[in-house]
Amino acid sequence: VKTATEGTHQVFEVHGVELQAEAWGSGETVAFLHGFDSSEGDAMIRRLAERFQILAFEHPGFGEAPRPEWAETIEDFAFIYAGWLDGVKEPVHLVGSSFGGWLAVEVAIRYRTGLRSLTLIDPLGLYLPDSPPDDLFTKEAGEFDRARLHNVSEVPEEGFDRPYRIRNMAMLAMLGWNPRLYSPNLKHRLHRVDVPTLIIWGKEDRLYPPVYGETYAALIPSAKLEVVPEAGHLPYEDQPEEVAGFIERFIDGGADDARRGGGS
Amino acid sequence: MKFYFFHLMPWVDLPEDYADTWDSAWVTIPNSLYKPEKGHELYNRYLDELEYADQLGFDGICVNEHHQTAYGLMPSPNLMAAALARRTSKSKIAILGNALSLRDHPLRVAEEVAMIDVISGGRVISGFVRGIGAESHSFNLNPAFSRERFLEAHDLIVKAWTVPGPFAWEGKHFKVRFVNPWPQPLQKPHPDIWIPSQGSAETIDWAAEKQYTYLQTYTSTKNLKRFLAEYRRLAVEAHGSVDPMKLGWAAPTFVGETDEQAQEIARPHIEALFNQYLRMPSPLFFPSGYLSEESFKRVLENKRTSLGIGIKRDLENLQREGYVIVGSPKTVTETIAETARELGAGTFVGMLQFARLPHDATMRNLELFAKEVAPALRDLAPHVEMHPVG
Repeated sequence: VKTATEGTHQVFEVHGVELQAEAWGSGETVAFLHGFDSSEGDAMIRRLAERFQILAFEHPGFGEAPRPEWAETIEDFAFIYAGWLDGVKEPVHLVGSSFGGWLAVEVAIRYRTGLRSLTLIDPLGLYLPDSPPDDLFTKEAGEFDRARLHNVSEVPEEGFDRPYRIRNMAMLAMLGWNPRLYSPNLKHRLHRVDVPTLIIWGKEDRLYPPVYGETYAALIPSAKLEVVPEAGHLPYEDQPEEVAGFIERFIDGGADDARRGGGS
Repeated sequence: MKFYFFHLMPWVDLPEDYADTWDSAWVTIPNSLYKPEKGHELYNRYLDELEYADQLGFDGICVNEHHQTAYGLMPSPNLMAAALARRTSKSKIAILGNALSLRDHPLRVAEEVAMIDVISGGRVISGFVRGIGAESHSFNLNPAFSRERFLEAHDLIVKAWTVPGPFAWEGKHFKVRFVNPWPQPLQKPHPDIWIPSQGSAETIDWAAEKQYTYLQTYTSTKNLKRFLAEYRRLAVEAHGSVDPMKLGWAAPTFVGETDEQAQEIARPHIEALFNQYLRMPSPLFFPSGYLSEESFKRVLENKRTSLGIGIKRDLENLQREGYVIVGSPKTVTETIAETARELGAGTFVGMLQFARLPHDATMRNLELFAKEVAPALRDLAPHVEMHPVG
């Protein structure tokens, strides 16, 4: 019963790891890797589910998802998702946002066959000494929430007691405290991304300014950068229609064009 | 009972209005506020105070480890303990403690503590702590692994002290090809280990299982009772009985001639300790991953009453809740006796200097405590009737 208004809970068994996802819609598969919180991106997901099958994953250890004890680095997580990709029938479109964007690119530099395209939305993962990112781990909860959005007028003054907040932030610390949410050698590995790649960046991202997007676009061979005005670190929260539109057009045509143009 | 004097060695020139400009006395407060000439004066003054406590007959004198803060100027407690080892003769020297999670080479702790134990003729008490949340920031140490690193470093140090070397250690966080430290501690099997804590369930459980002295710090009487009762229950469950000396608590304490005079002198410094020196935004105090999920939830439930991140406090409120002990010798004696009896706790650690409490007042506090309070409680043998655990 996969419709645009109702997700179904799916559990994938990946070499002993239980990987959870909400499935929406039908069509080509788009795997979505969330950032700090799997409640992000709801409006965009519903919109994309009108055209595609969306698998919105819950990362191990986040939300209510279990985590194998050994999985405690971004690399461990990348291999879990790579293991899931080993089992897909058709190559998938991988979309990752923020932390999930970093994770998606860590998958893509290692895994080169199960992917049809890659979309990175304000991904973490790089560190530019001349434009250091803002520090997430010294922010109070409300300040943290406001920093992620451009239009902050609707952000409630709620704290760390939001469901799963404590777990998600503890997982984020485990995976990204030091180095602070980046992989030092990622820039030397991005040349390995050999699928069509779309990079979307919120023009007003206060945590990771658009120069990070420009850097990703310069280092990934076939990457195309779209900067979204009036949007912050989670541009699909500020501009869900526009971001969904970029992804849809990329998958419909741009992805394959880019593959023909940018591949070997 | 036994009595210890715990010095934090605070920076006394922290501007009283610093809170208007900086949100904490930790991590981010600029070190341009530190003046080495004043520091010279302070270290020597504070060491004099600790040495005086030795002469006054305190069972022990205590130092600790904190980093990048005006709260306490002892990034290396072992240096202070080494200085005290040569200038004192009777008191135990309690290091409360070495922050094990922060060490990349825990064997350095094993070596230094052994050195001080040998120099002092076996007077060291070796406290171990994780390092507080703020230090996850100042060391950029992943708080999610703080407890794991603490436990592994502890295991490695104790093994290095008790199992003849060389042996190899292949742990998760530490890998050492040759564990064979010279020297070895004088006390056998090793110096007493104390675990100072603010009461996390995991720490109480572990300390009770290991039969280490559990020292509850900065706590209301209500929580002190809860935490020490928990330690006692677990220790008795695991080992059949518990030595009252292994239950301890630490509290800022000031003894004056009368209750009124004590309150008048202590008030500004007690209030500064809680409202200025301990003040921290929540993400500094409890960085993500530092506490277990359960502990974090407990902290959030008690947020209004939590130390450092909660409401502004005054002396009356702190006294009423039992965070501090301030009064005449009689009042202080009765307060400690009542708590000791009720909790069956035999170890009291007085924080007899705090915030900007001046030298003269500190020396007088030490004297009154040693001469008017401690003697009346020496022979108090706290005993708690154990009820069957149901």
